[in-house]
Amino acid sequence: MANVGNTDELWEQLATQEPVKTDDSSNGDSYSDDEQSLEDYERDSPNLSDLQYMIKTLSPDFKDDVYNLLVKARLSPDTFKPLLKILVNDEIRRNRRNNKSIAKTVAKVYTVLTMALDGKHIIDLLEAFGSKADSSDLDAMNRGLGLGG
Amino acid sequence: MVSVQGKSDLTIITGDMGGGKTTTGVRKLIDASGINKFPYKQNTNIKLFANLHIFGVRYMYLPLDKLIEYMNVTVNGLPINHPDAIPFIGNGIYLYDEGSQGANARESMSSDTMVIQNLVTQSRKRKLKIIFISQDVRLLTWEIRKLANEWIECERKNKNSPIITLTVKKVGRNTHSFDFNGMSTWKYFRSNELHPLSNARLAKAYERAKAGN
Repeated sequence: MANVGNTDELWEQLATQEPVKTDDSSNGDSYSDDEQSLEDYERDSPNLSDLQYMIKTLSPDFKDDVYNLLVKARLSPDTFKPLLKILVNDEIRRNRRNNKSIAKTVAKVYTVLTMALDGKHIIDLLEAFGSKADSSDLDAMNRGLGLGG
Repeated sequence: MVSVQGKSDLTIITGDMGGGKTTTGVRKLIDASGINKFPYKQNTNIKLFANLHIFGVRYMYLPLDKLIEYMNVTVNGLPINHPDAIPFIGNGIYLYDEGSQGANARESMSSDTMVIQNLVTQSRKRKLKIIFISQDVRLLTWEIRKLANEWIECERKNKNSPIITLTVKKVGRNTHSFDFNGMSTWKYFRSNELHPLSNARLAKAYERAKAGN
């Protein structure tokens, strides 16, 4: 921001400053000032292209090798139900001691399998790549015609 | 998130209720003030304006009626249309909470929305960065959506946690997504501050309601 005029008389009259509020129940170190600005956070965050960001959003890490492999598979519809049953049972058995939510387990397995069903996830990603290539071609063409892009 | 393409120094912050929108907006104001960073002194070269009450920094409370009042005031006493005029509302940052009040998409031709539009379209000349906060970008008037060069989407995945996830989209830049702790910003504002309708609007609505009964 350019420095023009600095502070002025009217500003001195109208600007106010009140002490920070202290009636908040929060306390401890986490309540103290965070020296990193939002721009610092942004600079330190991964520099993803829009396409990379979309892929990252569409392809969550399931923290499990089998699931991460399955989403890239082409699952036929007749194997959907048996596989759902097997994976849910397996997950429940493995997490019996952790008291893990069954609903969460079913939702997670269901998500993985619906992504893999008929290779939908891979097709979605390929379509995204395709549309990106198409839009790049269109941009190049527009530039050639002097239409911007 | 829709792509941003504007050239103005204009930021739109969107998100659900309780999603950390105001926290993010206030945080940008505090970051610009410099009080949260060594040597913890406010940068007096940047004027801070906000239509909500801010604590701990020197700023000017500037709701819509005050904005209209000071819109054409200059620092050096010259008429606002003089080439050497230095506008009073300028050379700083203006945080505008609840942007749908004053810049409502459905009232784009109203006189108060025209004021905001004038401010936005000539923000570069005023050296003014404007930050609009709104629950949904479609609630904001078209000019603002078109001119914004930065779009920040806020999300609090866990409502019991102060961690706010921001997705930042800037013109000509890649999308960035990161988390920050909103707790250190809460002391600078009150999250329940209302932005009421003007008495004139309420009186008009009251008259209409009364006439209908």
